[in-house]
Amino acid sequence: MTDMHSPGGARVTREPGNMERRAGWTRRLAFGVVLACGLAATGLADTVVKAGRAYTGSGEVIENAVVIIVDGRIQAVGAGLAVPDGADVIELPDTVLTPGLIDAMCVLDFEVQQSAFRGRLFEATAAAPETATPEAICRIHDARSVDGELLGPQDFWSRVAADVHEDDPNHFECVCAGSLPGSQAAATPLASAIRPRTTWAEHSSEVVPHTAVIDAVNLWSNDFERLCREGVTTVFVSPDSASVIGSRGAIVKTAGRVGQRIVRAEDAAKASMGGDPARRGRSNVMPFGGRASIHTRRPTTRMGVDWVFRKAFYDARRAQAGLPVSGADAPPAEAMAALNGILRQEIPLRIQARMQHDIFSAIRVAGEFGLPFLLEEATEAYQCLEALKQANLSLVFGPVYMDATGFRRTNGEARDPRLTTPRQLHQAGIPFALTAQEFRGEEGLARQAMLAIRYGLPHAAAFAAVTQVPARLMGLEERIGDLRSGLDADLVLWRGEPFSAEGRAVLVMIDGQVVYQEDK
Amino acid sequence: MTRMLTLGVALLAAALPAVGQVAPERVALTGVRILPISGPAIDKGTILIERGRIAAVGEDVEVPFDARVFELDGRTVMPGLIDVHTWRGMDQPNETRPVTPQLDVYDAIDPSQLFFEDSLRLGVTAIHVMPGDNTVVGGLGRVVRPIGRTLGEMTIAPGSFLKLAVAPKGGFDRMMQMSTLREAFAKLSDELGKLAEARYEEDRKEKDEPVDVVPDEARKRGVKLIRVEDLTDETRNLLRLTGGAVTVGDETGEPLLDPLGAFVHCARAMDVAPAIQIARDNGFFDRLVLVLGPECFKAIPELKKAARPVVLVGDLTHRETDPLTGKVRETFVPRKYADAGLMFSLLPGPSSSLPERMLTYQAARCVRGGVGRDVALRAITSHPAETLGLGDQLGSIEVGRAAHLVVFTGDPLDFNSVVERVFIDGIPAYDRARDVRLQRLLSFQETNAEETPE
Repeated sequence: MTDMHSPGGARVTREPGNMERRAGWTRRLAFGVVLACGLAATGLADTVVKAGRAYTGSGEVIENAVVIIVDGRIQAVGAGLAVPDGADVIELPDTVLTPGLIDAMCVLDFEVQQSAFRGRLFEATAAAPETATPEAICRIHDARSVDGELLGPQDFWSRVAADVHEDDPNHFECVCAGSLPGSQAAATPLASAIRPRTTWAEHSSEVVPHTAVIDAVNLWSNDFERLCREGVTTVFVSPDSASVIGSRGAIVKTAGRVGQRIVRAEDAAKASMGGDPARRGRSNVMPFGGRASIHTRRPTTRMGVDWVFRKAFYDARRAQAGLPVSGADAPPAEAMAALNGILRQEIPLRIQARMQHDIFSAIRVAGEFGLPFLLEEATEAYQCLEALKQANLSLVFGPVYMDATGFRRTNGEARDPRLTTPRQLHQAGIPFALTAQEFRGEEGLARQAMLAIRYGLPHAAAFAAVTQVPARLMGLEERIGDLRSGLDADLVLWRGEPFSAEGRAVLVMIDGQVVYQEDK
Repeated sequence: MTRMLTLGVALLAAALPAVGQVAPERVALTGVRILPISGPAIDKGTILIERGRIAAVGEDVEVPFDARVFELDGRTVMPGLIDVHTWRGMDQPNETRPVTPQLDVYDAIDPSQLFFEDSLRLGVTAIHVMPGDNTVVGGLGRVVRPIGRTLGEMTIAPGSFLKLAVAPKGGFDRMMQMSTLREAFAKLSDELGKLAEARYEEDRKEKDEPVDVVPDEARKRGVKLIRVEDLTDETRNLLRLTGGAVTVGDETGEPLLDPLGAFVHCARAMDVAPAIQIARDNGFFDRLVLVLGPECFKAIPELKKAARPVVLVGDLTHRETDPLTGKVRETFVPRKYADAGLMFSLLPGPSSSLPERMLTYQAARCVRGGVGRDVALRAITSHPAETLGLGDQLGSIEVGRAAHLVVFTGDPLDFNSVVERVFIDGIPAYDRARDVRLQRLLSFQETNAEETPE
């Protein structure tokens, strides 16, 4: 199993034509709004980017690289190509150009509670353009249940894109998605003892593939800006590992116009093996000092995690056949459609597992239903390389660290990491993408590649592991992750080598638009 | 736990072959690229070490027949890195009491801590262990090398700095912190006055003469009668901080003790001016070192005026959320100090971050952030050495300096370079090929039986 395709892979409505966008831009300037981040008004017509050198997703080197961008997509890449007449030229001869980096398992806003953004609804409305009035927000909210029919997130977000942001040439100063009333998924109050940092963990059941993190993604989060500054242009926003079969992740770009930012609103469903769902089950006590018991949630052990996983798909099959499902662990009725989607392999499946025996569990229980899946985190992958190969698995591996910190330390699942695991995966021929998960800055995605190289991963392989491979694992190789004609113009210009200690992103472009440029 | 401990000790012993050894008479490092820090790089040269000190450096150095020769072609040698301010190496950073100038890290450093081994592995040859930041007056630090079984073997220089904090300790606010700090010095002055009076009275008694002056006059007359043994531990160290000589009113006695400097911790920009003022008021401004949190770059005008050495805590990026727009602004702090021409030293970052633990990576970040390469290298070698008053011993490769040398496989700021060997006072203290614990971390062999699930 290598590639994964999602039925929800349709591209959200493209932006209006250049002229309209120009008009929007001019109007924006007329409003005198100062743009954050020093955005330049480039990338709307034909744009040409010139850099000293370029690396393609496969690691190929092009000296004196020229990238010609038309309508937000790469038209041509090559050495010393002629510049078309009238094109805007961005020329930084002493930089290295790469495709935008892709984090296939991004844990977003780890340090920030999404609810912290609620109060900003009003502040933002005061400064936002006319389209973001409270009426408009209500309109969006109502759109979820037009004519009594509940629309899926993909349709919903298409409407958001079409309805609100047509005239808004950038992604700043709009209301946050997290503040929409509909974004708080209907959780049953049994989970009242759960701590608030559970934005990405739906606790109404252990089996919640019918929910999607896109409903909780705050597209205006500072975290996106930070990712963008660090050269990451596309992320898979991962649900939490608290549920046995968790929510569905979303693939979004880190900057740009809202309509284009959501690459795939509902992507893979994320299951988890091992201690995370079990521990959450145990900690999910009743209010007023209650204890974990048969009256509270399951599972509380690894055995229970496996059982809930099995029973979910077993029940989904029964439901499909019109048979009744029963038992306390039966998945909610809303989840059946999504579970059957996973069984039919229409919805990709990811399973997070850190320790060797959890990886074996993942292989076993998924194998019982013949389900291909993408293995996530896989700290102890070095202990089961042969099994990974035999199961024909692909990995989203990472982050690389020596001593586990935070929840990784407390859950005890990452006591024995190896710095050389990426190199070993590479030598074993196992396809893998690197991820930084919640890490940013000096341990962000580019630095993960830097670390992997220090500990033996060849440069080209590290490069592919943050561009081409994650794109392929998410079935997006025809859209992102490389410098090829027809792909989105998501480019990063680096001063210094991209994965060296001294290298840094100086300019980031998404869909042909400059979204970050370093201050001088 | 016991097993871990045993393993730790065993590994430590294995990784530190130098423990308990004395330096060979003569050591020569040949064929190396030399970054002396104090001068231009030498592309291929030889360093000769005699009895732990650098005896010769250059392209044409004759190697004596009896020297132990390390042929290090293609490697780069730089001075040992200096960790200029850390509480690690002790089991606890701070005493719970706020004012404890009598304490000395000597009593708390544990030579068997893996921290020392980790430091050695990353090329650190001198560590200034200091009480932590959660204090008002914290006690004496000490400069140690990361080898040796006892603190005596480890010590490079006994404490010459007291730890002070202007940033409030836990449970204190800034008012309480400053009040406690000022009170410590007021109390010192008061106690010295009382002591002077007592000494004067004692002296008159010995001579069988009556005390015929008012107390103020008695205090002045007693100043020169105070002996070192009259001082308590607490007053002793604070007196050293103020310069070592007793002053009562306008009467100053002979210097009784060597003066001490102070490392003063400032978490925020608002702490900088009070820190400088406290130092000026109490006579240790000339021996003041400021330990600065990321936000302190906003006090650069004051710092520039003071022109004292500064130490930047590990988090080199200041991140601030604009309360109105909610946008985050990032500032790379060392660049500001470099632009202001201040002498700054870098510290390793939080131990949770794998790259930031390396001082060389911190320096490479500076280069990334627009700081000159020379300045970045000095900030982990000669700047900390000078800050500690050890500039004539450590921090550069020059004849006569202590032979603290780190051998990198490539350029020290290249993240793919690794520390291959470390020499401390001429002792071959670290050899990567014999680093058991590192080999385990990088191991390929130790994978468990690769069972296939059914």
